[in-house]
Amino acid sequence: LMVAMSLGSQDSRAQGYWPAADTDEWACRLCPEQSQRDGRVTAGVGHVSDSSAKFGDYTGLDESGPYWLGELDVRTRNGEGSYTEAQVDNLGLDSRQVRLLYGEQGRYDIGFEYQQIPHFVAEQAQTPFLGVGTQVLTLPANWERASTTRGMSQLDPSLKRFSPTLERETYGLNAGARRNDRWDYSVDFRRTEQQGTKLQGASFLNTAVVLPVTVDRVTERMDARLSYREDRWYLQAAYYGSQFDNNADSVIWDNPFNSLAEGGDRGRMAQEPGNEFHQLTLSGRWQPGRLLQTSGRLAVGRLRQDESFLPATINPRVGAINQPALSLDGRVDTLNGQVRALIQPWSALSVVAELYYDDRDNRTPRSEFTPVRSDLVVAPTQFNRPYSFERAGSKLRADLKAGSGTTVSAGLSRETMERSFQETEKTSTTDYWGEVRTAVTQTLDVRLKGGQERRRFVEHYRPLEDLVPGENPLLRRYHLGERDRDQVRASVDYLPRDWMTLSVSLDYAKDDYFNTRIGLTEARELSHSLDISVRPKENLSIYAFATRQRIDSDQAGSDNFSTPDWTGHQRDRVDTFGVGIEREALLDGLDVGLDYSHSFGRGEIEMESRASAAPFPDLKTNLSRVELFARYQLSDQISLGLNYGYERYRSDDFFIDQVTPDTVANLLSTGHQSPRYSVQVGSVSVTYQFW
Amino acid sequence: AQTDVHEALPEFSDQGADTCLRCHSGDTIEGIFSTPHAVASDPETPFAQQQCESCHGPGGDHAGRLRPGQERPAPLAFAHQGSASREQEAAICLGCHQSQERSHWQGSVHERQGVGCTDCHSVHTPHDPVMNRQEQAGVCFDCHTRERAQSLQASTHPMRQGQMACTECHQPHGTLNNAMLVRGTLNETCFECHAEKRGPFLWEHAPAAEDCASCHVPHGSNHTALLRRRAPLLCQECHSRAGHPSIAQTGERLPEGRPSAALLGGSCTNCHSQVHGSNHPSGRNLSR
Repeated sequence: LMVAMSLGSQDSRAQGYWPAADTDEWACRLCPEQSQRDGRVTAGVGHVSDSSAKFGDYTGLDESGPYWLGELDVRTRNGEGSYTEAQVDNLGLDSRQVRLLYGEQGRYDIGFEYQQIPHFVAEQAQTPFLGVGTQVLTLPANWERASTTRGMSQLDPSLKRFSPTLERETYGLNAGARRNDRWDYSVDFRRTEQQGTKLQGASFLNTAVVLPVTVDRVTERMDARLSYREDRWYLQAAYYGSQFDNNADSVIWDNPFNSLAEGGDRGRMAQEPGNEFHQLTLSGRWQPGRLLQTSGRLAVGRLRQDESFLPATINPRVGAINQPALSLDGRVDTLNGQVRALIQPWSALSVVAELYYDDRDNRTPRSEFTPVRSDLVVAPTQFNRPYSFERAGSKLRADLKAGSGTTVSAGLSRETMERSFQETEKTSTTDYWGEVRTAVTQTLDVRLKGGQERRRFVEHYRPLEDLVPGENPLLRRYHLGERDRDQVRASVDYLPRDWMTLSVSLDYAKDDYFNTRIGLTEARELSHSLDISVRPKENLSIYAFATRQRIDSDQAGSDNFSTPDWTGHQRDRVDTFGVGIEREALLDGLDVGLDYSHSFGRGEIEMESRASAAPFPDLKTNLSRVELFARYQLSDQISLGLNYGYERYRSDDFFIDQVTPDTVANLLSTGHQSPRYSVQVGSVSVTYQFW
Repeated sequence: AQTDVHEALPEFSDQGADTCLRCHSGDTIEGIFSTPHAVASDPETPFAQQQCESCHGPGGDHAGRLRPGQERPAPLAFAHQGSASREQEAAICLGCHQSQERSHWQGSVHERQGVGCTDCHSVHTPHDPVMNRQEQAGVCFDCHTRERAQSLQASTHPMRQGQMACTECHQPHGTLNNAMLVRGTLNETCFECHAEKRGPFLWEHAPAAEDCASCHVPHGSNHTALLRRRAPLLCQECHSRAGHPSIAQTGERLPEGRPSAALLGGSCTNCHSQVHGSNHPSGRNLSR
């Protein structure tokens, strides 16, 4: 019966999928009246046991002590279809979110959104610099420069602790309207302000310092869309605009080391320049019938950047430097598009053909600039390289239903990539794969997919001639190098009962950079996971999962700029597992739940060189978290909530552990250590629910 | 063909929703009356049309009298043992919803893999978890187990904390690009929130302008800043110039040995910190 009701033979009408019914007698007397309002309001108080920047990352729970809990989720509506929605989360924290929406269903809506995201960059950093939070970082008046950090006599007394944090605040306004069931209009505007302090390295030739750099950025984005639909086709025209402004366009800092040349006691580093991107997109769908369904998209964009250049140096001893331009007049034209055709000659076979194109045409002028090396000495002139690339490809895949529960699929794709100013102007990638999905029994689904991808040079790889000193001629940059990639993916889903699911999955990929002698030579990634989900009763659900991920890479290098004389192996292992249980109505009106998850990651870096290389300690991250909740329904409208969470995090990172500000002779670091914390969070809340 | 389909279908019930509600009740059923689907004043909603049977299909035989021993036929669609395929159920939803971001559903990865609308969406409740930023990732992680594990790693986007929804980068109803990204390309998607890295810079870092995934993994990493691997090895996959870029950094360069600025702290980025590009006239080596 249902096979006869083929998908393609149905109109995709707004009036619905089924034929019209005579509904004159359908009074809907038993239908509950749509409530005028419903929702819930939650208020409460919580407590955080310990301060931790890492625990507070994105949550706002960075400081020990009490916090307010405020959540709201309310809807109102009337019989004419007008509605209002209000949603507030984390009201008492720096991670608060607000969403308001008003509209008339099927006609229009307008909305407002606010979101605050705190991001903590590092724990307990230290710096001797004054002026943190400004664009000029100075050293104390009594600072004594030295050639090494150990020689800086005023370093210890000058160090002050600071917490590098970044905060995003996003304000959004959106509106949408529909007319005649055919036309849709929408506009969405968002403004994100990002402020705070990041850590950034800055150098004078062979000495470096990690600076607390002020961040003050604004990004405004707008999406405007106009679309029209008919039964068998749909067309949308859209504009996307994004403007980025940087209110902190540079940082000036005092050189804490002995100056290596006259006047080299101060440096200036650029920050990201303001830019703007505008894009027009036309997309649509055309479905003449069952045999052919097509959709496509074409986008034309322009990226501009024309901020004034900073001077080549702020060293007054270097003298005036003339540059070919006062600003970049940077311009990148983008063109990308895709077309897809789905052909179904009969119900068991579907063939999808796709074409895609992506062009980054960098029209930025190429000029000869005179740099000043590290604000110290004039260096040889250099031309900028405005990189362009052009990616074009096609894909073909077929799915054949070979029986009631089996689908056999195969695919082939080919892509060419052309790049300017890089070692090879053109590469070509071919990918082919096969897949079988089969229901072995009514309760057992198996999927198996395997494929190979081959990337080859179309144009020879030649080291860049204008790069002095040049790269080792045996190097093949990893994103350009010839590569064989083999991939396997398998999964089994077993449903022994209606209320039980077991799933096992495996992903494996191996990249062989067979033509690379210097650089990345091989990479492997394996992940497998087990999932169990059980719902033995309507009010009891239990889940458990375990995932293991392994990421290995091998690479080679040459200390003396000749043939490979060292290799590096990086092996990352991450084991993750979790269990959870939720029981509704454990006692009359009492719901309880528990979630536990654990992630243990270990990274090994092993170096082999002619001299026996001293080993690195392992990199470790270890996260355990438990969450418990209980919700007791005091009355129809009022419930009491009790939440408890415990999170323990340990990490070892030899890149920063035991690295104090003066550990490295030529690096004045911030001395922050890898994070570790044990934090308990508890909260009590009252929820008022109405409908 | 349309006439044949109509003839093959069972009849509609006698009284629409009133027929259904005589047997089916409770919050998990009646929650639909707190959703937009039940706003009868909007002529495009199910309850302005064939009510429950707008989605579940004509239910005359399901609601009809049974002969002794006869098993009650299941509703056609969105029901346990319903005879509609997932493809047909998707077509029912798309009958009203196939505009805007759902226009590229046909041929998309989720469509090909047999994912149905109700695998992700809960329709009979005003609180559909997948439509909520704080709960959405939990729905996606039911199938995307590797991404769930990555969300617990040391460096992640704030999905686990409910500050970022999967749909801020992905369009699960299908797009025409890889990984169902909301913008035309990967970099355009990343620049949505990281517009400062968009450039164009005077001195560009070629792989950064081309593909953020050259160095970063989006869903989680145990290395800082969502990096694929650690510097200096990450940088040495592409840089081998004579002098310090090509030298192997080993355990002898740890604090207890001869500590090196090319290894410790930010490694290469202690000096070359403008890894996404520099607009400083003296920033060719990405250190200004």
